[in-house]
Amino acid sequence: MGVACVGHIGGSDPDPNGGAEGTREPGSAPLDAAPARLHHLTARQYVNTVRDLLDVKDASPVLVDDEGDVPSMLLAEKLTAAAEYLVALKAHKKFVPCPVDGAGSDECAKQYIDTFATRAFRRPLTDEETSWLLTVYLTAKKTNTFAQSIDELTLVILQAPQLFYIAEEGLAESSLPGGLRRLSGYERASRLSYLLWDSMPDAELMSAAKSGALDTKEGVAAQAKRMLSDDRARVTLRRFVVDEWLGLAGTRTHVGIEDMVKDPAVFPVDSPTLRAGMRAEIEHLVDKVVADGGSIKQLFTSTDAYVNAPLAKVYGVTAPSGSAWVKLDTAQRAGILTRASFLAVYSNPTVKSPIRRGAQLVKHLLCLEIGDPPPTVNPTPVTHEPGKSQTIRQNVEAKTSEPVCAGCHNIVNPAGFAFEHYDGIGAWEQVEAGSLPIDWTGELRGTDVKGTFNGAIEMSQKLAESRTLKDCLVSRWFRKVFARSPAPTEAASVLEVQTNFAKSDDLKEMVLGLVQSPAFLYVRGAE
Amino acid sequence: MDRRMFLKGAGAIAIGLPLLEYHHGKAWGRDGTPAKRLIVTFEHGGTISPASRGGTKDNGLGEHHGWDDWGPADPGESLVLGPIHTPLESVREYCLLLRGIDNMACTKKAPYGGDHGYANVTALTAADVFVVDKDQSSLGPSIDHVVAQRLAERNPVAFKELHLMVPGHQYGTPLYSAAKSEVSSETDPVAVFKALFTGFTPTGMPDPELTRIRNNKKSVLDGVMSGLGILRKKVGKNDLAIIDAHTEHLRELEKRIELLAAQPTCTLPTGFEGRKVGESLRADVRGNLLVDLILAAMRCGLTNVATLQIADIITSWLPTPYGPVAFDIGHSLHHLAREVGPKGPEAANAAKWREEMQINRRWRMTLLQRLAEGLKNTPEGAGNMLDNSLILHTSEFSDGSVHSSADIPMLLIGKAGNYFRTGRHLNYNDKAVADPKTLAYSTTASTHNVFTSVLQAFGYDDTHFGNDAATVKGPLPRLV
Repeated sequence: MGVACVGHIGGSDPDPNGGAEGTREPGSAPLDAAPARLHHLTARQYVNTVRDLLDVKDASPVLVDDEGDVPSMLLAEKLTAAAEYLVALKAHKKFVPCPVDGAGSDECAKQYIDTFATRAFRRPLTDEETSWLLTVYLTAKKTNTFAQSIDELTLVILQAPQLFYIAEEGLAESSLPGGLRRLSGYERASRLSYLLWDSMPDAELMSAAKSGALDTKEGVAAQAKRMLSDDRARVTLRRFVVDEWLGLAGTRTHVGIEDMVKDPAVFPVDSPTLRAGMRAEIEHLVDKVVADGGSIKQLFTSTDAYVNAPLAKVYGVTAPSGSAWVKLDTAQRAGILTRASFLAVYSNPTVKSPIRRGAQLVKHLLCLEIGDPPPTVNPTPVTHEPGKSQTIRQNVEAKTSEPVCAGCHNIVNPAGFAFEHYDGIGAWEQVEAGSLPIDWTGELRGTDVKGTFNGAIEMSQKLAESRTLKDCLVSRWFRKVFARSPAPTEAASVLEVQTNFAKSDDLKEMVLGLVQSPAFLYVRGAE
Repeated sequence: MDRRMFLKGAGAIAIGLPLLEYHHGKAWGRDGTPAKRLIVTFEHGGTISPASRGGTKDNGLGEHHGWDDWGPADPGESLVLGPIHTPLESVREYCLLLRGIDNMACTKKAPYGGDHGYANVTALTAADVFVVDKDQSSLGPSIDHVVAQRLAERNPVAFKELHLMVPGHQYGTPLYSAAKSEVSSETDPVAVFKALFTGFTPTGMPDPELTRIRNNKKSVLDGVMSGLGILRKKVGKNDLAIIDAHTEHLRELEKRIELLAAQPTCTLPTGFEGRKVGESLRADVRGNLLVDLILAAMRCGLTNVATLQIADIITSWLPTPYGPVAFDIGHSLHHLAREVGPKGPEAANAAKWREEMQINRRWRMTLLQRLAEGLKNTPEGAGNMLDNSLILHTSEFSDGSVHSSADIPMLLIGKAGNYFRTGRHLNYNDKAVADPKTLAYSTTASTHNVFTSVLQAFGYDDTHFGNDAATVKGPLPRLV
């Protein structure tokens, strides 16, 4: 199969000249953005939103994430059922400014609409929207008690498209290039909030929107910095790094930590407790890196590990009582790619897989365009062949040496060979198959950190300094923020964030860079 | 009371009898035609087939195996079930095994003649494909949706369509309600049970509180639709489909409330007592419960159309001769089809691979067996429900290891109102006319033609379904 493996950095497609209509300001990208696009909250965002809205942290409405943009019947059904479930909790009653179970009044209902629906819709209501919700209440009131009417009104609000969808219009300003509109403070608040917290804006963010503080990118940055210090942002960054960038939650092409298949005869240490330990360790490490200052270098070189007893056994360190931080052997471990979770997920049920490890590294952590394997690829795990004294590395090289394979494997294999000292569960092995010497030398081809390395420790140190890696991280972050690839009109924004992030070692600077970019702050008219 | 339920003790006569509850006035459509039902079952990942991308059979002498285990045991027209289909013996006389059918919307229009994305989105739509960000989407609805929409006009039901799934590894839904409108399927049987049967009360008396709740639900939906109307004025024309689809779903929910209000007697399925939403279930238990829900919904007249997807999972609770930990996803196991031929690297494990694949694929057939027998054992009119129903079973691939959408699995079960002549095997491979065992392959039959036949079986006069990729238009010959 003719797959181009040229080491092109995918995802960003930067245009150094910026958009044609862009007006370059000193130190910033040309002003341009993508057309407004209607989208709705994810299942997680809806759950977090209604929990915050109703102040019920343990509410668990069930929604579904569709495959496409157009809502399915199942989603509509579940949204309706979620609203019914939430109203049955009666948590909304505390937001009604009069005794709900009394006679009530229309004025009380109006005040409830003004306060509760404004929070739910994340902005002041238009007159049309106020009139609509008042009509809902008054219609209900004809045949129901006040309390029942408030319930019915709340049922509408909790599944209202104004809550469930994010529809951005922006504001026209004469100083902006044609067609470009500045997102309102409230629209920027929602973008920030759903990006960093996966939930609705809090009172302070809404207040910043109301005051006009979010009308400047400095004001946006100030709020973003505040939000980044919140635990919810830590969860967002953790999920982005662990589940999405490293892919440890699984995708359509591989299973994650909890679902990976391991042969108990080969890996008797494997257990649900070990896997829980693996997840806890990688998540704690990312949390610690973010808390310590967000250092990319630390992410790729740290030997701090939060381990439980079975994971300590994998790492060959003294088992703690419960779980605790330990230091790993600096000759064996350095950063997130040398941890059991990554190494085990990208292995086979019985043996390590330099191909899977290398492919994840070059495709998803470095954004190299190497294409998918051809449909006729042989998926048989490369193992030790009985009676032959060949390492996995030697067998992989033999199996992928044909020209049809070599184009991509010349990039994948030398990266994946860095991990040859780690077995299929992530434990260090000094020799392979009992006695075979291990070669973990390799090379990061198609990147800015060319040249050979001797093992995963050296490679991780190279990655910690790599512009290719940082550029890729920005591309992946952009995709997370907008749930799509950058539009041509956003290329300058992406390039600007990449350029600035290249000068920094702080993951949070990437976040702050993107939220101050034109792609985040502006919008073109809907098409 | 407008809705009643026979409970144990209260309806002793009904217990043990597969009673067709909606018999009173609902066995016949609004236009006087008999009620018909369509169930589409879809197995992800293909089957044990030697079909190449062009359909030509591998001779099994090289690296690829040459087993045609999806095929019948005898090439003649009288159906003799092959190794995968053995669970269907009790309903064999209702089966129509169709060979030589290509998904030409994929084989003719996809890059390389097919891949996961193209194969999945065209498998039930036979439509053109839209690609954005390397993701494919269908530009037309799937056959189940078209039939459901039309049957709902003729025979209104509370649930136009039920979409269920045994979850696990797969590459995307084959179900579409319109262009670029992917359909999501429910995987939780308890959630389905609640959606179908909540509100069925044990009393026979009118319940004013239920009436009030029902009326309130309708006004809530009206309220939400008003909100959609306001939002609709703000969005661009590219996003109108989102608002319109949401609005249409809410209208359907409103109709459901009305129809449920008039629902006659219903016997609830068993096996759900004490179960909770979100409960962890083994795939076989889940699959059986989902099948039972389809049967119960159809017996209760709650739906005319259902779909059941079966993900490409390793059936680890059954014997796994190849090895219990060899693979984590079913598709990887299937890929070994290319390796287990006599000259393949896995030749030594060929028998084990075949046995494990057969066990896996036969389990899928046990779900069809449960479904078909359930319909067959439900009396209806002078016959049974399977006489008036059609199960259409297919997959995106024949041989998943080479991503072939040629000679795909296509199995019909049921007579669709005594329309199809069943108990037969029909091979549309032109090369098989002279030599039924030939490895050569040439066909003019496409899923377009099968789906056109389905529409005609349900009483519609369509002469074509899908895009222009079919070699010939019209229904599949020889079915009736």
